[in-house]
Amino acid sequence: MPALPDLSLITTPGRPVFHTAAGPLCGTQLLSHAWALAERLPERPIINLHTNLVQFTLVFLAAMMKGQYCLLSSNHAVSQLMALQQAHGALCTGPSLPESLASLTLPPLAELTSSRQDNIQLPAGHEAAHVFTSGSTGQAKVHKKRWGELVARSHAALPLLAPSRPDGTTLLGTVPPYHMYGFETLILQSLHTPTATASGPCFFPGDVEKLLDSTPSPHTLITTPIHLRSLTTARARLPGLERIISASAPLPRELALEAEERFHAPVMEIYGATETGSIASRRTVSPDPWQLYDGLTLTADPTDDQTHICMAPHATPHPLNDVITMQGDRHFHLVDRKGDLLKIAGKRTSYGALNKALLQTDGLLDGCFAPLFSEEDLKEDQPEPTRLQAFIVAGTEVTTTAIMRALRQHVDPVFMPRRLVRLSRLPRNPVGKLTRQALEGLIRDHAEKRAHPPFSIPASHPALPGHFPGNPTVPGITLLERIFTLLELDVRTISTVKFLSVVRPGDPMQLLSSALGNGQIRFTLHHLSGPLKGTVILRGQAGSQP
Amino acid sequence: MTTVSASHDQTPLERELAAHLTEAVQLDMDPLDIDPEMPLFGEGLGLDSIDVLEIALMVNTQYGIKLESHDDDNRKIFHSLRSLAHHISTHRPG
Repeated sequence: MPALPDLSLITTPGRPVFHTAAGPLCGTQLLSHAWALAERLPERPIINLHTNLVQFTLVFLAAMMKGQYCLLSSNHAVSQLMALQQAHGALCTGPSLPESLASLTLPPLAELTSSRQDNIQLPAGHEAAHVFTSGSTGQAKVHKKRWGELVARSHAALPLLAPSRPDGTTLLGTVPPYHMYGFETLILQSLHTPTATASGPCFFPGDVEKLLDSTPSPHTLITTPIHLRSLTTARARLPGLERIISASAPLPRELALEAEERFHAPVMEIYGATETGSIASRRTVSPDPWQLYDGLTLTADPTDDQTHICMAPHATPHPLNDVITMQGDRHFHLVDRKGDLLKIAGKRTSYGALNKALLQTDGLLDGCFAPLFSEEDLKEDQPEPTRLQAFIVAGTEVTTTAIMRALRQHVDPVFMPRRLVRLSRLPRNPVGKLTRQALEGLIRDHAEKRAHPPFSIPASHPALPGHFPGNPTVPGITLLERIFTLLELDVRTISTVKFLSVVRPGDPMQLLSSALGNGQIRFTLHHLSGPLKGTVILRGQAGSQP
Repeated sequence: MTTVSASHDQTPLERELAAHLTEAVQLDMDPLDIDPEMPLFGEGLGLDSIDVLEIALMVNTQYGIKLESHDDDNRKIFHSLRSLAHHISTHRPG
């Protein structure tokens, strides 16, 4: 195992670690404040919910001074925090917490003074933080982060975050410190390496401009696709920006290109997960593969050809959540997210591959594929997807037809979305991930109401007498009239209708329909009972627009 | 118990802003139904922090006003349709 760099709380503490509105904050000052806070802390783990970077760091340092650890969770639902509190005997601290939580209010910095400033060395195996996964790949799970692993990783990421001047770069970011991505880039980086972090509001484009303006150049901006889009749309002025780092959520290439042109800085995407931390990067606009951080290795799992294991100094080896193909030892291409594989009509693909095709569409700002379920389907335990839909975010100038046409060039017909659902944005979390829970919510909210109440046409229907004497049959036009009433559709065009089976007066029938998203509805009428049960009577497509 | 009137007294600016707002965050409701005093976040309209970003962008493009995070002010500005309209009318350039 390679020798570890300095394992003390703050590397070379005489330098600024944070730039704040009140000026630079040196490592020695931080240590003094943290020791004062440590004296007030109980011997318990701390759920650290601070968004102010200095406050977050003081709590983190003070917990370690007490030999304790911080719990970091992106899920701030009170029930989740209560459960964590109970499971760990932990105390919460953060801005405006509900009274039901056992919490600690942080005194103002001026009251936190101690004569102690010693910069203790922690054992490499010290559990510094328990970080919870965001849940984009399933249930939230805890990952224990040890000090040695965190220190080593900060050094591995330094060339990416501070390419030209490691000892003079200011990091600033729109991501919260309690998420692994923000924790690594905005907190640990400046504790372990000579970089400094700008601490101050950094959410709106105006905030980013101001924070950039009031802190020393060069700057590296740590952000997510959502924030990056808001910065380009607002035409933020970000002079002196050397580099933009974005979470891979994924980041659309078109957005990366626009950001590079507007801000005159390369946009680098970071690959990683809560389990592994960040491990690789790539320039989004370039076709080059992902480049692994120095000191890390990816090894194929000998028992499973779909899995690669990430090995890093002082870290527990972890399998990647994605299927990758290696290109040499240091580079790889992402193929698919595991557990993401999809099989329809005997053909296989993955949501990852479909989403990639979707995001290549001109003018599309965001989007994702999802199974298209009816309310009936969702009553089942684990419904099998047989048809897909896509949720999209795009300006009105991008038509549904244009998106479908572009998709058809890359997507097999069985995987083509049956409809496109336009949204103002996808419900991504603050670091841009679409959690499984959020996606399931979307699918539920947009479930099709497609099974209509059963009906029959009685022999007394005015259209029947005189039709087919001795062989009473319900005329097709009568069926269509009833179908359009059920669909509540003001029909302008009937694209196709195929009559496949005869209906007698009194035969119970059921209509199934699905909206195609362009004003068109596809429908099928079935026999509901008798020897023909389930047989299709007719199928067709009609629209309310010409 | 008091009864709430269905027609809300939106000023012309509030009416215009309500239309921009429902479009910016794609709220599935008639802009005229937004009670100008109702909280936009939490228990009111239930918007979240990313919606704030969308609304700030809309305010910037439509009214030329740049919003920033001065913690206390922001909570006041984004409290309701009325507070946001007030901020716009007092900060509109020209």
